[in-house]
Amino acid sequence: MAWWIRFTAGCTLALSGLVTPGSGAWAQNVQIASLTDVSFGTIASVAANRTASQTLCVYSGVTNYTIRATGSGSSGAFTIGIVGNSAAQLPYTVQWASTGSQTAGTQLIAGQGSRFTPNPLNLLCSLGSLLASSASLIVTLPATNLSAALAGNYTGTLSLMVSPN
Amino acid sequence: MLFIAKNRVRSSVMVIAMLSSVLPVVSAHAATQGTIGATSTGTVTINATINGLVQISNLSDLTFTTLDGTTDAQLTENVCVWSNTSTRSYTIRATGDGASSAFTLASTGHSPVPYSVAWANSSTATAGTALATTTASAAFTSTAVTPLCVAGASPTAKLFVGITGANQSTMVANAAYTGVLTLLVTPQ
Repeated sequence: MAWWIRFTAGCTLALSGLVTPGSGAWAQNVQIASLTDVSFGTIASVAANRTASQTLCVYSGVTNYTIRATGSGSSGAFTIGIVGNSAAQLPYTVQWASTGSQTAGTQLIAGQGSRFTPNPLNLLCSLGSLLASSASLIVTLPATNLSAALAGNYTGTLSLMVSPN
Repeated sequence: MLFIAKNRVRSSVMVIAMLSSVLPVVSAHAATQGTIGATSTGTVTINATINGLVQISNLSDLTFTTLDGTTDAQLTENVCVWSNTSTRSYTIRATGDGASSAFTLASTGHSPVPYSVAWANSSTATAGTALATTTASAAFTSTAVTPLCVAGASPTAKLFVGITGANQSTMVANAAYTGVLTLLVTPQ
């Protein structure tokens, strides 16, 4: 029964975001989900940009949302590094699109918020609404940065915070 | 007086990308999903492995035009070698196109003429380390930090090619001698 109640509340919230402007505490909620790790694999040529894009879910109970991306580099920079070699840093770029399956979007600046409008079908991620409430995350390793990078295994974390706007 | 019409050593560019000892990253992390709330935060791990890579560039053909049959002759050219390894090191292996990969110039109907090859990892060097055909050199270090020496010192190395006076004396006047020298660079 408890599960049913929560499910009902979720549906109500979903319809609120879909049909009418949100109101009340629940309507101010947001969610980002369906994220997957980004692996560029083994790079044997540094002459071209490497891009990885993914479709994920963003729900916003209000008209717009802000996405703020922060890297694990110094001062939140978008860089990945070689473990044990702090001097080896590989900068990357982050783009965001408010629809899914995109390979280009709005460039994000590390630590700064960017405002987007959610999909018209703005459903809760928990309702399996990836197709409806989707967005695109595009991560690129520019050739110029690859050319200047040392050989090795690079890793880092990208944090994405969504807030109502 | 011995006249040599065109004694040419053509150097060919060969760029080799070699796997270094790096292995693909196995991430200890996995993406985290945001929960619904006043704000929601998710994270992704980003991984990339860059192979050990090198590139040799700025090579051009060499032509001996003033051989007199007695005086040792040497031509040089400044080239660029880039290596992305942590030490910026590389080895170079030179291969001639003579018999058994010998460093020789050929001329139809005439005996091949040996030449020597040396390498220095500075464009200002006045002498280099002699190279033996098909044998990798000891490691050299490049100062280039991007391919084609766009950044860092450019050029970074010097190629020396020589023909001794004694070998010149075996050459036939007005005959064209030619050969191909292949330079293989490997990251270290």
